[in-house]
Parts: sequence; structure tokens; C-alpha cells
Amino acid sequence: MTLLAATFRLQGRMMLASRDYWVDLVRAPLLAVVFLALVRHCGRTDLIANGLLAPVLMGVWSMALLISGEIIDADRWLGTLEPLVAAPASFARVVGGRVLFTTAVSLVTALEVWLVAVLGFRIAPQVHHPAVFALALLATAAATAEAASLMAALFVATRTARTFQNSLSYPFLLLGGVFVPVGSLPAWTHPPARLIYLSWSSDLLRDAMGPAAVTGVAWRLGVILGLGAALLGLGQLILRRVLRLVREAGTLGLR
Amino acid sequence: MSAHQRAYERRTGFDAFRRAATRLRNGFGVLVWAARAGLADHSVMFTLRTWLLGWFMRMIAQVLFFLTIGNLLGPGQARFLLVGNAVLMVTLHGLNATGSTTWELENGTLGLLVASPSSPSTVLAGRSLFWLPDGLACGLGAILILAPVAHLTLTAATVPAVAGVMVVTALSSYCLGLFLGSLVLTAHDLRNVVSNGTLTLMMALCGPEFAPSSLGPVLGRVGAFLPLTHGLRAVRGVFAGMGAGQVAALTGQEALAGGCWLAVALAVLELRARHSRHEGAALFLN
Repeated sequence: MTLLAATFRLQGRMMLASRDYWVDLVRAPLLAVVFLALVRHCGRTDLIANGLLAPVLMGVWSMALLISGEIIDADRWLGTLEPLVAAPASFARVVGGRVLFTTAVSLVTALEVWLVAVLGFRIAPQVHHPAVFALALLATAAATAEAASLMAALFVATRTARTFQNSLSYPFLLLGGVFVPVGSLPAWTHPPARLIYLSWSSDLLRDAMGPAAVTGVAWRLGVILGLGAALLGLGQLILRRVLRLVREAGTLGLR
Repeated sequence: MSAHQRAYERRTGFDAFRRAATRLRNGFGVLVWAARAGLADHSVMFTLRTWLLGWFMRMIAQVLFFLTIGNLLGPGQARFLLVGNAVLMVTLHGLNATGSTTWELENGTLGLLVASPSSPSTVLAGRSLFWLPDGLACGLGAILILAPVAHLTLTAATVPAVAGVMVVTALSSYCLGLFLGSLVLTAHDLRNVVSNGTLTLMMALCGPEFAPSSLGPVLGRVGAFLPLTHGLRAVRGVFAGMGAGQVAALTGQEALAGGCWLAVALAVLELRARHSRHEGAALFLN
């Protein structure tokens, strides 16, 4: 618990010190304005839930990609990677705690979007199944943190992954169905899209906002958590392997 | 006036002209070298493979993301959003100049620029020019690749016209990016916040997603002072069969907006450089 609190404190201080980390907290409410104005302009008030959820999921995914994904890489640049690896505390748990904190901060986008809807558009977002919505949001946050752990490990394992970091945003948002449900995309996109936890998250969150009864909540939550766990497992495997290799070769700071 | 005096005045006038021409030639040379330095930065960031499979695909995916939203919204919306977001890609790259202008501080070369005899504003105006061909490739590439998906008809006449308007839009957006870069020159941790925030605001104010007038009479007119608005209207006009005169007029307005932002950007950079020298803080850190 002390370790978790320490990682939260460290990540919080780092996020306060560099305003670059706030980019998605600035962008999410502006994106909400764009999406809500777009659906209202087209007279598609039935798509307001899509317009509300998209900026939140985009913010959460983007912060996972750009902040959590860079945690280990940032440590390398700051020169704190070596002492962290040498410390008696588990390196994976330190990274995990910091990723968890970043993911929790990214959920602030939900509050921002809600405020934009209420104050800017006089829309009171309705969530007909609040319990399902809360569970889906928590499962999404957990899966996002797990995906971010994999990215953090990948960015250390290979420089090529770091090059493609920025490129993982919109392809995943598109296949993740954050605005347009995967069901409305061409059939050939469904198999790869269903391997992305975001596609299950966005469907379940939208369903939880609608008045119709939500079916299969348990197994759908299970799929989100399962896909997240698979990413976490892969991330841990890569991280352990990379750490072993650099320890053996003595190239931790040089990799 | 004696013949001797007239010859003297002719000579001094000629000297002044020659000095101005030399200054202009030197300034252009500095601009070219700055652009070459920026291009070197770009080649460090991307190889052809990583640009094509990473950066370019990400841009296409962003346009496709909005195109699919258009399909969901109703007939004709996919085409509207394809054109709007493809031109937005050009602006996105222009605004990337905000970030790359601050790289000089990170590289530790800003102080050297202030101390050098050439104008730092000329160097900073040229060092991010590499974003322009990148943005044009992404914007035009998105239209060419995704036009069949949105049932947008391309002809041999429309493509060069659209490319021409995009060049002007890229330049005017670059000028705004340079201005924003001049504001955050020494606060480089704000560069992404400022450029991304501005781009998202422009998505609402300049018309790539919907007509700005739907935001109300005041907000609907703000876009007229920003790059992208007139250029995008010109591109939409080309596809709608608007007359060449009207397209040229809109493109001219886009160029005018860009020119104004460039003038403000250069003024801010020049002021900051002068202030830094005056205060003895040759790193703009004042």
C-alpha cells in the first residue's frame, strides 16, 4: 500500500510539473463541443450518447498511449531508470502504480464532457443503467491501464514501437468503435475490431446509457477484463524478458 | 543641383538598393539553411517506411474515423466530413510548427541564434517548413484514397485546383503555427497543449465538421480570422463546381489571413529577441 501511494505521489508530481501531460484534459471538452455540435447540426439527437462517449474514450486512450506508455522511456531520459530497477521494490509494481494513477486522472475527461453537455448544450446526459455504466467504466479503466503497461514495456523493448506510438491513436479509436459502433462498420473489420477491448467497452457504455434493457452484462464485462488481462500478461512477459536481457548484458541505460 | 551632386545621390541610392538586395539574398539563404536543418530533424523522426506505415496511415485513419461518422449521420455527410478533415490534416501539420519552433530551446541552439548576426525570426520561420510537404501529402493522399469510399467524384481539373488551394491553406496554417510557437518559445511544455487545443477549436470554428454558423452569430464569425476557413470553403467550392473567380477570391482571403498571422508572428519573435538581447538574457528566458 505504501508503494502504491508512493507511485501515485510520484506520478502526480510529474504530471503537475509538465503541462504537456494536460493536453488530453484540454482537448476532451473541446472535442465534446465538436461532436455534440455535429450531431445537433445534423438533427441526430439519437446519437448524443455517441457524442458524449467518444471524447471520453478518446481522452482515456490517448493518455494511456502518450503518458502511461512513456513512463519507462521517460525514466530512461531522466536518469531514474537504473535506480528504480536496482531498488528492492518490484519494478513492474512501480510502473503499474503509475499507470493506474494516470488512468484514474484520465477519467476526469468524463466530468469535463458532462459539464460541456450541461453548461454548453443544455443537455442533461441520461444514464438509464447507472450500475452497468459504472461497472463498464471501471472495467474499461482497468483494461486501459493493462494495455498501457504493455505499451510501456514495448516502447522499451524496441525503438520501432516508440516510432509508431503516435500512429496507434486513430486506427484503434476507429476499430474500437468509440463513436461509430463496430456493428455499423464493414463486416471484414469485425474480427480485428473485436480483439480490441475498446470495441466491447464502447458498445456496453452506449447500451448502459440507452433505455433498452442491457443483455449479457456479465460476459461482456468479462471480455473487456479478459482482453485487458491478456495485454497485461504480455506486457509483464516482455518487461521481465527485457529487464533480464539488459541486466545480463549490462546495457540498461544504453538500450 | 550640380552634376556632381546628382552623381553622388545616384550612387548612394544604388548602394542602398544593393545593400537591400544583399540583405534579402542573405535572408533567403538563412531561410533555406533553416529549412534544410528542419528537414534533417524530419529524417531523424521518420524513415520512408515508418512515415508511410505509421504517420501517413494514422492521418488516413483520422479522416476515415470522421468519414464513418458521416456515414452514420446521414446522406452526403461522409463527403462533407471527408473534404473537411482532409484539409484539416494540412492545418494539423501547419500547427505542428508550434512544437518544432520550440525545439531550438531543447537543442540548446536558441541562445546561439539570438547571438548570431542573422535574424533569429528568419531561422525560426524556416526551420519548420518541412511540415508543409508532409501535410500536403497527407491531406491530398486522404482525398485521393478515400474519395471512392465517400462517393466523391475526382476529375483531372479538380485535383490540381484542390492541391493549389491546399498549398495556400498549408502556408497560412503554418503562419498561425509559427505565431503560437513564438508565444510558447520558452514554455515548451505547453507546445502540445497549445497546438492541439487550437486545432480542436478550429475543428469547431472553421467548418471542417459542420457549418460554423450553427455555433451562433458571434462564434460563427470567429473562424473568418483564422486560417483554414476560407481555404476549406474554396476546396468545397471546387468540388461543388464554383466559378474560378470565386475560388480564387476565397484562396486570396486565406492567403491574407496567413499573411496577417505571419506578420504578427515575426513581430513577436523580433520583439522577444530584442528584449532578450537588451536584458542580457540571450536565451529568451525572461
